[in-house]
Amino acid sequence: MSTKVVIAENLTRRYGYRVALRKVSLEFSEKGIQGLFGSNGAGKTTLMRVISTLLRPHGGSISVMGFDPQEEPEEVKKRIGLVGDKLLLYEELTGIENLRFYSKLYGLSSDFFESQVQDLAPRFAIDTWLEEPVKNLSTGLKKRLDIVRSLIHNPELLLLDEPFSGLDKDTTEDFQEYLNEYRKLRTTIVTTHNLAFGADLCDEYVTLRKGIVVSQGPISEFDQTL
Amino acid sequence: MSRTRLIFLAITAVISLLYVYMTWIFSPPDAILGENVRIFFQHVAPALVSYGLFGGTLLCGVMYLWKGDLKYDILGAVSIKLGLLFTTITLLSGMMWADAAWGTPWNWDPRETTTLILWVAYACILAYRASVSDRESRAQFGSIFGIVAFPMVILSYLSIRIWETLHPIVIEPSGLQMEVEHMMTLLVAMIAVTFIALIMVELTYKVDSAQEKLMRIKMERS
Amino acid sequence: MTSGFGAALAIAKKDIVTQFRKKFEAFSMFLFALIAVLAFSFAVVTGGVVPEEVGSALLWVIIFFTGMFGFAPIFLSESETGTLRGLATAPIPAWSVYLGKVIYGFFLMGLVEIFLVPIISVLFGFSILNDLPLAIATLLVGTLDLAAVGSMASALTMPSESKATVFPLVYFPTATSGLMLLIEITKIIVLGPGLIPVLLIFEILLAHLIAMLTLSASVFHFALSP
Repeated sequence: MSTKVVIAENLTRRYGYRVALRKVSLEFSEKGIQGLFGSNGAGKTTLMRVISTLLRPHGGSISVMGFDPQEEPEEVKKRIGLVGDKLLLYEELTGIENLRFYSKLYGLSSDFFESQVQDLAPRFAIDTWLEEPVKNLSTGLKKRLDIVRSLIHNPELLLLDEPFSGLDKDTTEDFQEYLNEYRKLRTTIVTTHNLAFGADLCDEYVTLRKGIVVSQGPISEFDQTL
Repeated sequence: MSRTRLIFLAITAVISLLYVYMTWIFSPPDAILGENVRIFFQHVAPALVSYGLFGGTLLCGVMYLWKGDLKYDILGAVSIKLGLLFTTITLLSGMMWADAAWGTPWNWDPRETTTLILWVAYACILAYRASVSDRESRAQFGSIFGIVAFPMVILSYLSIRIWETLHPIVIEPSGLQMEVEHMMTLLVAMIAVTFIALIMVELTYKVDSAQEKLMRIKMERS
Repeated sequence: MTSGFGAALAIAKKDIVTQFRKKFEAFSMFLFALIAVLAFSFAVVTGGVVPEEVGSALLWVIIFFTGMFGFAPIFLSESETGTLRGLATAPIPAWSVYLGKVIYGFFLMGLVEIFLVPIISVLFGFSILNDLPLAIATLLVGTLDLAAVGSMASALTMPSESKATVFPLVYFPTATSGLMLLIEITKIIVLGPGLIPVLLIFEILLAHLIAMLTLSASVFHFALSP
């Protein structure tokens, strides 16, 4: 029985008068790629934000890698990496300057930072572009740089919110390859509304609809037609 | 209506009547100001009550950030609105008095100026709140704003102290020179206005809460 | 994880480097200030001179308005591009994000003042050399004070629908308290001591700065992650 990296119990979160997460109870297992499925407005992004300490629950509880995101946010933050719809890159700075900035925020030693760059940059084919200001890069390159940014501190838990939307084929393949390689070493939670894609990539899944957990379990049990 | 509320309303009514009587009939005309002294009571009481209400805004802001219960934010908004109302009364009555005592309604006196600044400051908070449509964000950021704006209240009070000790231009027929009847009237005025303010706060709070509840139900149904 | 001050400095440095590459903001702030000088000159010049007590007061009024123009983008740029989330999810305390921005705001405004103050003192015909140490101390403390207030105000505009129009509304109530003190001190420097000891006012200014900084820093956590 694997340990659980995220445990939520009766988690509730409102947006004004609308309830985004309604007494959600779920678990994400450690290691592997976990899918968070559901159509738009199901509550996937809200859940991701609660996990990454950005939103405070209005009811219920949640623990991430054994920590409460509201009580011990820094413990959670240093172990997670995020990729979302917006790129967390500063346009006027070069790629390497962006990465170095984040390495400072994450308290990485320069040796560790250098070794990470040596490892990740070629893998995502951005090593020749690191000295270029981000504003001059193509969208594909920017996205790759953003992915490297999320991995620079070697997070235990990777949170990917619709990560493959708008990606070109090469980047998608590179990224999938990387995720596959680290499947056994790291936990990844991926949200997507593309069910076929999710079923192909993930080991386990949770489906949300209108803020409620509709089903969860190993991917073998997932029925796309539901 | 509950018994306590009835009693409270009754007491307020009695004190208010007493206040009106004392202001107009009981108080003798002032030696210098004549009949115009009567404005004084309508001026000081609302001023102090408005300070109290702005203090309430600060408290509600802190409570909301701490507990996350929207009730505190509704109350905070109510105290801003009513604080603004009482500050308006303070400014207008002050201008009437200044006109009577010194000939011009506005003198850019430190006390006048800081009260005006306070008015604008809290009106800004209200306008700011109106520009945030998400309810939770409005409460969250509105509370922060209310807290960060509070040093202005403290500074207004301080500046009056600083400027007054050394610029004895601002004179009031208060302090030791006030006649006993005036002191008594002032005390009654304070109590009456405070009670009235409390009733208004409670009423406005009830109305605003009900409105929010209604909106919530409508949203959940749709 | 890194120390709060380290993170603040990294953030300030990032913004300063960006500013040096773009240069737009500092330059437009400077132009804005000159426009303000001209606008005021139409009102206050009589017989080719500006009365000394008026001119010295206008110095801070112009700096105040330039701040209204220049501090608004401090957080807005981060929230619009989405990079704010990168700062919110990094394992750094919320106050360090605020502090980093205050340092940057101080630097930005200071840069403009280096050119602006001599120009205004010449155009408006007053001299701060009467008490240069106090004048410099006031400029430093005053600019830091306005930066502290301006950064907080910028952060508060983020959830608003009409961010640009709302900034002055938030900036004004919080900055005016400092402004009154700064004008008073400058008048005394230029005209000579008045009824109130200047050091008393300076102390109050210092207290105001510390109060605004600590208040904003402690409350900033709520602005970053609701």
